[in-house]
Order: sequence, then structure tokens, then C-alpha cells
Amino acid sequence: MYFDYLTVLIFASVGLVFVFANLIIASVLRPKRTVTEGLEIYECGEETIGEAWVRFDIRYYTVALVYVIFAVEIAFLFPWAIVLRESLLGEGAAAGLGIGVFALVEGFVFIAILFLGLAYVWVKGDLDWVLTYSAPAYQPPTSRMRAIPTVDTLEGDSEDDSEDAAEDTSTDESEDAA
Amino acid sequence: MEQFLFFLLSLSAIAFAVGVVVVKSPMKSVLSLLGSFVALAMIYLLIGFQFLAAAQLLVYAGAIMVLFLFVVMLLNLSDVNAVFDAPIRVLGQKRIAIAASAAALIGMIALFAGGSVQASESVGAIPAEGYDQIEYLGALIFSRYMIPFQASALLLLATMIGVLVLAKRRRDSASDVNSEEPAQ
Amino acid sequence: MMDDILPAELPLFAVWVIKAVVIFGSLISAAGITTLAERKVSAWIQYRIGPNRVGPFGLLQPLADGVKFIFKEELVPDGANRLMFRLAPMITAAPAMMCIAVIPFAGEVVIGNYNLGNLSITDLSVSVLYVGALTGLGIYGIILGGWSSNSKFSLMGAMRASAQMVSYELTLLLAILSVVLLAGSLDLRAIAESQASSAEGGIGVWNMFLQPVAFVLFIIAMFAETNRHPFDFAECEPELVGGFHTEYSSMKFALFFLGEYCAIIVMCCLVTTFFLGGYDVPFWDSAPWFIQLASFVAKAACFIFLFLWVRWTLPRFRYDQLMGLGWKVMLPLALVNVTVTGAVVSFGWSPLITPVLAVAALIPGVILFARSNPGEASLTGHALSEEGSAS
Repeated sequence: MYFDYLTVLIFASVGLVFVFANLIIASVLRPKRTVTEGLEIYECGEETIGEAWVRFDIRYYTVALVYVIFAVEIAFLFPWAIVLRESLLGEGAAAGLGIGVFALVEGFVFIAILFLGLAYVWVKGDLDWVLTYSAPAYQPPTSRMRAIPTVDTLEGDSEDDSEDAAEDTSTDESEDAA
Repeated sequence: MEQFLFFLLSLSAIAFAVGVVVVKSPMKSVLSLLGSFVALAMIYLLIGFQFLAAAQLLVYAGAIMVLFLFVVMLLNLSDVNAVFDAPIRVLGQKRIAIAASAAALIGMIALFAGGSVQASESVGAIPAEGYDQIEYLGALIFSRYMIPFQASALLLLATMIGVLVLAKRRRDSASDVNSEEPAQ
Repeated sequence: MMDDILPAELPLFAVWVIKAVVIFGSLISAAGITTLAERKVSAWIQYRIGPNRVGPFGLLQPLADGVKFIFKEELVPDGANRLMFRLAPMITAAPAMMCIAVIPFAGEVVIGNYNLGNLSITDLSVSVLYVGALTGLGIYGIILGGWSSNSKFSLMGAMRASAQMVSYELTLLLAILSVVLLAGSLDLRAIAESQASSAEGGIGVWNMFLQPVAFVLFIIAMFAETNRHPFDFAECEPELVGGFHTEYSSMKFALFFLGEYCAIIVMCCLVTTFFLGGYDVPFWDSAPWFIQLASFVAKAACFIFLFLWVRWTLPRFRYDQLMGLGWKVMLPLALVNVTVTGAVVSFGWSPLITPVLAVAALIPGVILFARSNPGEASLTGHALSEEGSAS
């Protein structure tokens, strides 16, 4: 088993040599200027106000929490995946006799219990990403026609912009008459 | 070679662990802890526990440390120095912590020196598959240790819901404060 | 003549070093070629010419880019956390590159008298766990890079990317798990060989056909894991400039870039191994190693092309849609798929009925989902209406 990981170690050291060689070569060759403009934080030409380290929303925490739970679940499911097959072949009989279907049911219960957690988060709305929207929800117009000025609203308008409208209504009426 | 690797990894694990406590920036603390976990995982690998090493990386280094990072992001980092200057230092918690850990260390040394904890003599060469053939691990989890396994699932569920209830209560009270402002 | 100079058998250590250097070199070259391919394919899709100045057909463009990176001035922005700023690119690049160590590219390599063993750095008995552990670590470099830059764009890009990668990694691992269930092994080589027609007890069908649901889930999750279109929220240009690497320049930016393309290549290799039989050549069981390698590379190249194709075909998602898709659609689907596959394996049924059962199990879910109209729900969701009624 050591040899398997030793080769990984050799591979990693090759990678490290490559990366550091590049970094060192670049640090020798690249120009070193002390122009301070380049060191400013990029904000599309605006001057930066304050630090970037701000408080982040708790939803990230929720997501990470659910991730932890499911990461643990998946770590347990890998042995489960192996056991189902092994017990079929009869090799698992040494450890537990014919545990295939038994393990299957257990796995189902395990998944179901943790799915309850996901369902809880889901129902409570913690998976909805748009939360901090404190204004009343946007109500789409019930019909598109409401956006278009009707004859009634135009007649009720003040004088200064009703001339064109009056022409419109007159033409409409003439068309209707025709 | 193994001895050398073991000491190297143990020393780095301990150094990182000390770094977690000593470093002032919480971000660096989290990274130190990550380094400590990775070193631990490699020690597990060294003694032939592949599944344990992978689970350590997947669950602790991969998931729980991300959670910690998000918690650090959730805190207001500019207030960190305020935490260090807080009157809580008056309690002398640093001294108490040092005394407690020293006592624990002395206790452990006494246990080992007294011979009540002994290294297993039968450990020989590590088999090619490692010690934890995953089939046997699975067979044990799903037969003999079935109840602890399901209990762990319940524990996880309870943890998640508990934490979310606490977190959401805070957020609801915060949003109440916010929602009162435009009303006035 | 050659036999006199060279030893009859290469020492084991030499074989390891040769393999490590060759595979690492191939990975870096492949990343370079992918950057060129990205620009060429983009140009082709947009009816342009693309890079054509450096070398014939612009083939030396990646080299020129590399040289340019070396000669660029390096900037560490004011107020940045210098140590972490330097560390972040390496932490990003390392896990992606390390993953390639367990990918089986071909069977036994025999060159002349020398048997170099299987063409992979190593064949772990738990290589699936190795991959899972490493993909989980890829997130740290991105968070660190964004956090240490002291730039708002960087930090927001990093937070978005980390939450996104976390959400889709679960689906990725569950899709892998259903393949592991069928193969009954955690060894990537064993998984690849179980799909070959010569496999003992196997039926010689690629997992793509046995696990269509897992295959589709894996592909979607793989786009999200690598922060590529249509999920590239880590660096969506109109909103966040460059995302987490806005402040990076010179070789450090090159490392981020390299890590990103290495991650794409690794994902393509993984999907090839898990779902397309790895180095299996259809209807030719005893193919020599270079044919197997060519087969593997061809399959992986198809997926790399898919990455580039999708970039110019699909519009970017909205972030709430992304999270909704990850948690409310893909994770439950993956769980259902795993349970169905588990039942098939456990009862010893033929794996051929897995797709039928999986699709049958999915139909009620899809109907429920379609009736709940998720696009609307995510905008005017539960919590929103609660807050709306409170105020």
C-alpha cells in the first residue's frame, strides 16, 4: 500500500517542482516597478471605499451546514455501496450472513432520515435564495391591457397632454363610425 | 522512512494546531486547522487506514472547515481586535487554558509511563489493501453496529435542525428590527 | 546495441519517475491545448478566425501566453493579506492536478522489452474516495484568493463559487456512488474494466446506458464544479469583472488559470472512466495500450469540446436558479437514483433494468416539480411571502 501512495508523492513533487520553478523564474525575469497606481484595488476606476471584508449572509452558513450533513452521509454510503455487492457474492457471509437486503433497508432508512433534514430546510424556505427582499413582493399586472391608456383615463387627464390623446380618440371614434 | 514521515507529520500537525490557538486572524486559524487535519489524514494513511483518511479529508477538511470559513465570513472581521480587547481577558482564560492543557499532557504522559496504555505488539507490515478493507468495514457497520449507525443519522438530523432553528431565530429578530424601520 | 547500454529491467523507482514526469507533462500540455482549443472553438462558433499569428494556425499560442505570463509585472493590491494572497493559487492548482494521479489511462504499457506496468500514476483500492476527498479541497484556494485580495468583486465571486461548488459536489459524489454500486469497487481501474465486454460477469455495456440519470447529473454537476458556463458565477464578467482572481496578475494568475483547466481535464477524464468505459475500445478487448490510450483521449476530448460548446450555446443561469437546481432538483434526483440502483444491485437483478426503474421512479417527482412551477416559487418563495406579510 505504501508504494501506491509513494508514486502519488513522486507525482506531487514533480508538480511542486514545476510550479515553484515557474514562480521563481517569473520573479527573476519580470519587471519590478514601484508605480503605486497598479496596486490600487480594482473597482472599475472608482476609488475603493472601506474594506472588502464585510459580513456575509447566513444563507451561506445554512448551505454549508446541509453540505456537512450530506458529506457525512455520503462518506457512510461508500461502504454501503460495497457491501450490497459483496454480500451477494457470498464473501460478506464471513462478517454478516446474507446482509444484502438488510443493509439495503438500513441504507434506505439512513437516507430517509437525512432526507428529512433536507425536507425541513426546503419547507422552511432556507433553500430559496431570494430572501433579503424586504419590500412587498412584486405583483405582476393582472392583464397587459392595464398598461395601455384607455379612453377613460385619457379623458380624465390634465389639459396639456390631452391634445394628442384627443386626436387619437377622435380618430378611433371616426374609425368606429366608419 | 516511516518513522521519519510519522515524526514530520506529527510535528506539522501539532505545529498547525498550536497555530490555530496562537494566530489572531480567524481566517488564518481556520487554515491552520485545515493544515492540521490534512496532516492527521496523512498519518492515518501511514498506519494503513485509507477509509479513515479519506473520510477525514472529505468530512472534516472538505465540509466542516468550509462551514468554519463561512462562520468566519459571517462574523464581522473588523471586530476581531475588539474581541481580543474584551474584558473577558480579565478572567485570565489564557492562564486557565494553559494550565488545563498542561495538566492533560502530564496526565497522558503519566498514563503512558505507568504502563496502563500499551502499544499493540502484533502490528506488523501493513497489508496491501490497508487495514480497513472497506467490505469488512461496511459489513460491520451494517450488521453489528447497526443501531449506532442509525443513531448517528438521527444525531445529524437533530444537529442540523437545532442549529437552523437557533440561526433562524436570530435572523427573524434581526429582520423584525429591519422591517420596523421603513414603517415608521 | 541498445540492449547492452540499457539494463534488462528498469528499476521500479525509475518507472515511477518516468510515469510521473510524462503524465504531469501531458496534463500541462493538455491544459495548454485546451486554452487554445477554447479560443479556436469560440472563434469557429462565432464565425471568426481566432488566434493564427503564433506558429502554424496559431498552434504555439499557449507557449506564447506562458512566456507572456512570466514577463508580466506582479501586483499585490493594497491591504491584501500577502501570505494568503501568495498561497491561494497553489492551493487551487494542487487538488486538480493531484486528481489525475489515479486516472487509469490505459492497460499495461510495454515498450520494447520494458514493461512499465499499467498506465496511471497509481491504482489505489480506494481511488474513488481519493477523488472525492481532493475535489472537496479545491474550494479553499478560491475562497482564499477572493478573501485575501481585499476587493469586493473578488470576495463576492469567491463566496458565490464556494456555495455553488459545495452544493453540486454532493450530486457529483452521489452520481459516482451509483456507478460504484454497479461496479462493486472503489478502484477506478476496476470500474473502467467492469464496463468492458471482457469483464467477468459483466455485460459489456457502458455505464452511460445503465445509469443515464447519474450520467446527466454528473455532467451538470461537473460544469458547476469547474465554474464553467452556464454556471460561471465565480467570474461572470458583466457583474464581477474577474471574480475571485480580479486582483491577480503574472504567474499567480497563470496558476489559477492552469488549475481551472486542469480541473476541466480531470472532470472529463473522470466522466470517461465512470460512464464511458475508460480506455475500453468497443468490440476489441485485447487492444494494445496505445489504442486504448487513444480511445481514452478521444472520449475525454469529446467532453472537453462539450465544455466549449456549451459556453457559447447556453445563457448564464441566475444565482437563485442555480441554487434551486442544485438543492431542489439534482440532489433529490441523485438520492432517488442511488436508492433505485442499490435495490437493483441488492436483489441481484440485471443492471439493464436500472435505467427503466430509475426513470419510472423519477416520473412522479418530475410531475410534482413541474406542477410546483419552480421558476415562480424561487422568486416569490415561502420566506419572502412571510417577510412580506410581516411588514
